[in-house]
Amino acid sequence: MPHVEISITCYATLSTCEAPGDSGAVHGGSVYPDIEVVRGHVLARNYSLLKENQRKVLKVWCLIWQDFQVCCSGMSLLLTPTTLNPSPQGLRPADPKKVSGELFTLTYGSLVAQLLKDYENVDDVNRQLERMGYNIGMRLIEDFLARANPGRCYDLRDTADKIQQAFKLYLGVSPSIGSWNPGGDEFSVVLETNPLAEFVELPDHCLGLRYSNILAGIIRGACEMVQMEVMAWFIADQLKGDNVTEIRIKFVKRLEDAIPAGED
Amino acid sequence: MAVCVAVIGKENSPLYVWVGSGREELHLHYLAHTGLDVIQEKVAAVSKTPGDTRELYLGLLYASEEYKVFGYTTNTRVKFVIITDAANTTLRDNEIRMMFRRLHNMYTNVVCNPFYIPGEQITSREFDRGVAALVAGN
Repeated sequence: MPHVEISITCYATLSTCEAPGDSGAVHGGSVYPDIEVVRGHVLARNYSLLKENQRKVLKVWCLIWQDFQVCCSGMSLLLTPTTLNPSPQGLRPADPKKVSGELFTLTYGSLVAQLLKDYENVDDVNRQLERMGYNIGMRLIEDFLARANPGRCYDLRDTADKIQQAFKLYLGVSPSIGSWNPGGDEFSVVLETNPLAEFVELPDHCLGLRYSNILAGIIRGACEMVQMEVMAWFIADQLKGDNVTEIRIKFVKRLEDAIPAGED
Repeated sequence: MAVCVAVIGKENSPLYVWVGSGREELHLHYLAHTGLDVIQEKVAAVSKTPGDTRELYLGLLYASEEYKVFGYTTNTRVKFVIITDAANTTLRDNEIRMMFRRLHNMYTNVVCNPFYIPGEQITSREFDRGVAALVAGN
């Protein structure tokens, strides 16, 4: 293309003049573009916008256009980048996977209230919550392993640490681990605050409800996916007047990969 | 020293009424109810002026020789009424505002309880305790 050197410089100038228009909008967010660069762009833009320079600008554009006509007449498709600079990263959308804590609490609350209305029997609701937790746990363990990359567990104490890590990661609370039994196969996870049960008061007719039973299910489901069978249940609940919320976890056995029936 | 605290719902149904011990309950219930008329007048008056964001605290609704009645409304048409002794001049306007704000916070906590259906009576023990603290705190 005959006028390519000039055109590239002019194109560079002109296209970056468009960018400040956008990065000016981004300015309102958290991006503060380099002042010198912006000043340069603004000057170049103002130059090209002045009436007397319009002619020159148009001339350059004409030259570019002619170039394209000459070399691209045989082509049917032309790919070009829209700007020379990568798009500004300032306005990153909010992480779509994060939700407000209150929204989460209210959602869980309405879930439990609706289950109660549907089943009307407290034990059924407890069972359903545990089952739902189990399904969640089976899937959540993959995400936990990918995100936290915790590494192998060599004994139950490691497992307890990992569970503590998971609570921190997903619920933002730091439980304490304790009350190991002499055999070393049972322990307690103690929560000072339970984010699922903020603002909740159990009505008198469902005092047998294990409100946060979904957590027990999650622990059971997650452990099962890493070949450990555990039992998890609540032994203390702040909603029922205790000081802390306590989940007891008992290791039952290691799960060996079962050979499907019919294969040997 | 508040003598009576009342939470009244959208349809003017009483959701929660607390009366101090040793006071004439019926008379105070009646006063709280008459306060509603005044609240309605005030709310209607403010909504006529366009572009005026409504102030939640409505101030002194009605003063008799024995009692003073203060009102507060929320954007969901739930009203709070506090009745105090007329003789008690130590309670300033600011303190009443603070009381209403705390009452509003306690009410929102009650509403966030998934087992509470908005519009029914408030039976929450936390709310009872909160109101007792509120009244005792002055």
